[in-house]
Amino acid sequence: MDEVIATRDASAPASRRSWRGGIAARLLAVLLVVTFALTLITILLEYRTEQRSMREHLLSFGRSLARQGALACPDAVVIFDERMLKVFVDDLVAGEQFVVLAAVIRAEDGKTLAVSPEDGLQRDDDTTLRIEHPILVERGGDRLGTFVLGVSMAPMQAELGAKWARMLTRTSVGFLLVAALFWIALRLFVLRPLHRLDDAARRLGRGELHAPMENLGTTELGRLGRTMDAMRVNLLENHRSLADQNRRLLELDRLKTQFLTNVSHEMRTPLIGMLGGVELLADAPDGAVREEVAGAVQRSGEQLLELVDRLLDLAKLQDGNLLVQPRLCRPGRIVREVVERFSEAAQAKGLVLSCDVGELVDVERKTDPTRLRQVLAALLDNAIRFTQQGRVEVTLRLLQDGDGERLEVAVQDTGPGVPVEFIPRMFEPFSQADGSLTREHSGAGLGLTMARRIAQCLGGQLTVENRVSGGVRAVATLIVEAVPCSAPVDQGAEQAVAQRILVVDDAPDNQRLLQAFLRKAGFEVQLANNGREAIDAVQTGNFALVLMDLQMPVMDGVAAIRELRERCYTLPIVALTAHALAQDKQGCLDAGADAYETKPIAGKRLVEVVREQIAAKPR
Amino acid sequence: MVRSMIWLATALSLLCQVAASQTPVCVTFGTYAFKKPTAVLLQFKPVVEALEKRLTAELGKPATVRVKVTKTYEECLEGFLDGQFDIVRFGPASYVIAKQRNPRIQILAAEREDAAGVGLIVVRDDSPFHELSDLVGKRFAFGDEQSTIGRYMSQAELAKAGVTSKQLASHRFLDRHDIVFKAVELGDFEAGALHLATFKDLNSKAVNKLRVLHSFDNAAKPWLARAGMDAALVGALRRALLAVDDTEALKSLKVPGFVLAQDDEYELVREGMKLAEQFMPAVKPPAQREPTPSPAPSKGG
Repeated sequence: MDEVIATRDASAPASRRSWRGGIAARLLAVLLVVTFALTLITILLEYRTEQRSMREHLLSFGRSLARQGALACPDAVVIFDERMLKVFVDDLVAGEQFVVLAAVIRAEDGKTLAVSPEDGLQRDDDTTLRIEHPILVERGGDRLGTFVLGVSMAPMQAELGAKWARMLTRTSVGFLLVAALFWIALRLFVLRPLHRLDDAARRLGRGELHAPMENLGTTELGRLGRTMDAMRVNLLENHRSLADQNRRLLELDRLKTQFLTNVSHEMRTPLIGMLGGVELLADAPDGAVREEVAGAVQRSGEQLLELVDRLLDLAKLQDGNLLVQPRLCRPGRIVREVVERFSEAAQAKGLVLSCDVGELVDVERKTDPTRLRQVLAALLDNAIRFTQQGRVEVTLRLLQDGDGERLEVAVQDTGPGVPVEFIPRMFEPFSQADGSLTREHSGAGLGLTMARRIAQCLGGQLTVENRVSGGVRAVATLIVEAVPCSAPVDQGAEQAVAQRILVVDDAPDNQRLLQAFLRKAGFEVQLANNGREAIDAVQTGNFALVLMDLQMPVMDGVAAIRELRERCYTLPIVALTAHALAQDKQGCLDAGADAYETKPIAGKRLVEVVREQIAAKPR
Repeated sequence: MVRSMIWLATALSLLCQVAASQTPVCVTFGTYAFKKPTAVLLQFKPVVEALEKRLTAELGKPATVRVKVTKTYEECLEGFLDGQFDIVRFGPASYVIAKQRNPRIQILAAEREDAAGVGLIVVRDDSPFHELSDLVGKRFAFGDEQSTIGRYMSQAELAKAGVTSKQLASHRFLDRHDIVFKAVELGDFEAGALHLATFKDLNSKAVNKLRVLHSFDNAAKPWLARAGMDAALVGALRRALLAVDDTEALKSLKVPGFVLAQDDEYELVREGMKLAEQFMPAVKPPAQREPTPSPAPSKGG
């Protein structure tokens, strides 16, 4: 997908960003302030330490000098040699004139023996240290006097001041250098990657998703860049996916339009037949014509009903609400029954329709017989619809493998086969190999879609392939559950009770209609007006099946079904109601009904359901 | 009223007497720095303390003895004669001079020592000199100018032998007896005057041995009281000195004790000093002195 995805924000100015007041400037400001403060504190501490150290040093020096002076002059003090002492202190002060302000020698009685300079230690301020040392005749001996030294701290303070100035200068220069280096590093390692990230983000904002992010290293910004690149890739993929989905939606839209056209056509065909038939019935001259027209009207109605049923099933499949009710049945019989239904259509097209169920006629397995019928019907409908001549063969086999048993229903025909370009989308709903208005074959394009989904719901699969020798072979495999062998059903007994049906309905019209349909099909009918009567009737009568309305006085159908099941009544119960919602049906099935049909129901469908249930649930 | 006044005056008088009797007696002991002043101080400190103790006992009240060291002998002598120092310890010659200037000074006691033959005139053992008269035309080393042995008595002996300063090639005052010994040993001087104790100490260790060319007697060192001192105090001081028997104190002074001494015991020295004038008539100004950096103990006094 090389197209530009979007051009939003394309008008955003691409001028260079100003970082003034931005994160870098703030970082730098914080760093400078913190560094300056720390440096200042460090320098002050160092200054104080240095000052203390120098003072200690000066004090130590002064003490040492005073001690030396005190050690040097005892003899002169003993003999009161003031002249010599004067020379001594003068020399001492002159020799250390930068530090020693004055030196005084006092006798033990306090008399000043020598002082230098003459004003002595007159000055008494913070910059002068006064150090005294006793003059002893010997170590630990008698005290002869005191040696007093005045030491000036001024030179030390001057030196300290100069040192402070040098330190401050050096620190300031170093500080500026560090700040410059930090700014360079900030630009190199933070601002430049940020610029690139900003550019990349702007490109993303403009929808330019094809240019990858450059590698920004392993730092946090590098990780952010990689994250942005991953986001770009995801966006690109999402855009591509959305484009694909858009195309598919467009295709689906086209297919739905086609489907609506087909459905409209498919619905119009029987409706026109029905309307025309009704019109003919009104003017029918005799009974034979009327019967023929009525038959045509009925077929058109059944065709329309089947179409509506398929549409509903498709809707359920789309919603995921297709109910599957596996139960014990005889798949062989079901296959035969469905094939028999299509025999008339095959015969009309001059096709040979064969059915091979092998030894599986009376074999019982647990599966959903209704869904099995739907799958097989869809396959047979397609096969007969698209085969112009030749034959359609249906085979049923029971396969055994490590995962259990699978029922394989295969339908193969001698038709033209599936166009190669249609194979990838033949299971898509509403899709047809020939979707044109002048297509040869009718249909809504739902058969294979539904058959495959139903097969999948039954744990199986549906495959369709062209045969080498011509035609199509469609195979549906359904997982079935084996059941323990039961005693063979007494056919005669089954026949004997199969004639007796209990119809439970509170509406007399419905009772009459149902009774008419069933009697016409050869069944014996007994009526009940509500659930309570039905329970009573079941206790006394021997019925093959119960047709149960749901909404009734005294006791509704669901309660009656539940009570019958609680009383171990095992024969089939078919719920029959005008309630067509999925939850109604589920409620019935949960209560114990075997099947669910909505009113109005065609007589043929009613009989078919009744027979299916009686066949699927042997006594 | 009058009677009360009398009683009061009597009481005050008694009180004053009692107070006076308890007033500490302070005696100043003067000496001069014949060696390092502090060494002098330390040398005299034990004996002064012992004297102080004895004096306190003698007087029956607190007595202190202050030591005052002067820079020179002359200062000490002048101070003593002026009354600045109450007691002094002089060499025999110094006593004779002081007594000559003020006859009222008194001898308290003298250090007990055997003064016979303690004065020596020495030459190198390998020298050809056997008589004092052999020293004519030679160089002679004296001690201090004020020294009894180092100057006066040795000069007297030379004078007795007919040798005068003019007959010598040269002579010098080297201040200390040990320096005199070294000077003779090294050959700077052919002969020299020194104390017997110094000779004994140094000759055993000397590379070039010396020998005694001539020996002579000396007097003991006197401790003197200034003129005008209270007789009771003089007596107390004398008794105190004679009573000093503190071993450490006497050891520091290098004497076994003190003995009574009379002025006539110093006639020997007076005669020697007169004879010394014959050796060197013009005593003052003194002969050229050898400069010395610091005073050292002078055994001869």
